Amino acid sequence: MAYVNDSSKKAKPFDLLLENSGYKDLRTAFDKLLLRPLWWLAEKGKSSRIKPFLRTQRARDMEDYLSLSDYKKTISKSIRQAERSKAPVLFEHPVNNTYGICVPLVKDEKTFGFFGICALKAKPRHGTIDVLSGYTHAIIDEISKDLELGRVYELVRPRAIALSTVHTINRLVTSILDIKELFPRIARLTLQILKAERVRICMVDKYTGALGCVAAVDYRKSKDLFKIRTKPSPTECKVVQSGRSVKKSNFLCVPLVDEEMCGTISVRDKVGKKEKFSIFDREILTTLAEQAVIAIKNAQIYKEQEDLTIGTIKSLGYLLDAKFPRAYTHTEFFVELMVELGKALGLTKKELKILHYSALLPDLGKVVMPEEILRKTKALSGKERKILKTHTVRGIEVLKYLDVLKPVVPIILHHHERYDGTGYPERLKAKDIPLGSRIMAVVDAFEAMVCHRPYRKPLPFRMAVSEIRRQAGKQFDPEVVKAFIRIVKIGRLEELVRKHPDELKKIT
Amino acid sequence: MSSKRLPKSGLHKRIIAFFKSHPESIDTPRGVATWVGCSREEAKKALDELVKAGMLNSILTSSTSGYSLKK
Repeated sequence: MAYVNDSSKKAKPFDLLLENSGYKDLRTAFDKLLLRPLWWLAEKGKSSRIKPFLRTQRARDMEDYLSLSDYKKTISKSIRQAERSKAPVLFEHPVNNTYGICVPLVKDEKTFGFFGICALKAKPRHGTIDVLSGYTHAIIDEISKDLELGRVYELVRPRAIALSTVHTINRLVTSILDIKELFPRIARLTLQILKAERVRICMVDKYTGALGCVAAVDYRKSKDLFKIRTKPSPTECKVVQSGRSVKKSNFLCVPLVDEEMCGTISVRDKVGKKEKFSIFDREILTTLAEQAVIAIKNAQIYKEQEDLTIGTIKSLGYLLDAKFPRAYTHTEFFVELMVELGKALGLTKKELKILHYSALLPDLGKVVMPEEILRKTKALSGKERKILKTHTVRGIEVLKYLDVLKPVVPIILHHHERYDGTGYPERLKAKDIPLGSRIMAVVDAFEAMVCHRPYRKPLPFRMAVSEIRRQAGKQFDPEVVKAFIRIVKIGRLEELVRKHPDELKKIT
Repeated sequence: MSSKRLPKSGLHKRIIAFFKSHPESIDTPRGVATWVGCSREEAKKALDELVKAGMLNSILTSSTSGYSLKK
């Protein structure tokens, strides 16, 4: 369609008529019928530039041949007549007694040009003039509709694209539940959509009420510099207090408002410097801020729930530890090594979270074990071992009532299984053992070896690693051991041991 | 993919032309398919190739992907 390509944005009806295939067909159809006259077109205001409408087939060697320029005076006169009357004009050329027609091209009651024929040997009938004129105006109507449609298209298209962008951003931000990931994402998307150099997101602290910067991106110095300044600007404070946006030529700041004031989002400096922020930019930023608030609130609620879950598990561990320290819980080293090993094995964020939860209370079932077994500092008897081995099954009986912890149940239940199928409680073998349990088995054994025990000294770090390696394929999954060795080789395990020296020594 | 081996099909060119004329735009494969006139699948394939070629940015989430012009 005419409006699809960019060149048609400024197209004029006269130019479109010249290119119109229907109009060319009209000329071809009438050319032979009217004995090959001369066809011409003139744009309004440029009547001196009378153009031939397609090359004529008229033979130049005809005796009475006159070129279009020979008719110029007569045509110009007829143009003036047609412009006044806004109706087709029939004229006679006095030099060779030929006839001509001049049809004004009218769109929306405005004449934009003239179309005509000259060098007609016979006086044309009114019917011929009417047909030519009628057909011409039908084509002009068609062109007008195309132009109108093009205008609507050009008006609607950028808005539709902007709307689509806003919708995409909504989907991109509301799918993020990690608040630490969300703020920089919103910041970068804001820069993209507003073509700005700098952006800052400030949030009101719900306890102190103070405004603090949580994310800032500045593209002036580096392609992707993430910079956090804790001090908000006076304008940002003003926006929070008033709840009204502020627009300057190179600065825009809008409030983030939910049921109460949450913070601000501000942008500075349009890319290219010469451009200024417009009212349309403010509307876009306001819409973006509305979506950002929903996403931030969702992520905050999610984080609160997560914190509550971890807090509950930790509180439970703390209560149990008060009676028998480290009988039910493990060290922070244990928890961190579990997660680290999970990362080395390429687990997803969701899987890592489940692994994290399971590492907090793996031996919860010991709570129902007889105290004398838990307190015993010497080696356990066969019967005592048998009782102690039931702690995994007893543990999940406690956890099964907590919906949020259901995914950790299989990990805890099977973390004493062995890869060769000689473990407990179900003697599962190889990949039948959940991956989380296979990870926990390695970490549990390593922690037990490097920590102090009442009945033995801790093994040196290297020996403990060798022992893990030696048990690959027997007690442990070889793939998990490989990942464990990778962590050792890159020095991450040593880092974790160094991070928790006292914690590892204190274990009794 | 090196800059000498940029995807050069008509669709790739249309997509780049779209993002150049709307540099602020961030859109899904379905949206881009609408603006450049092709199927969602074709748009997705071409968009991923342009991301590989370093011409576009992509933001992947669990529910959708957003594409934009690389600054």
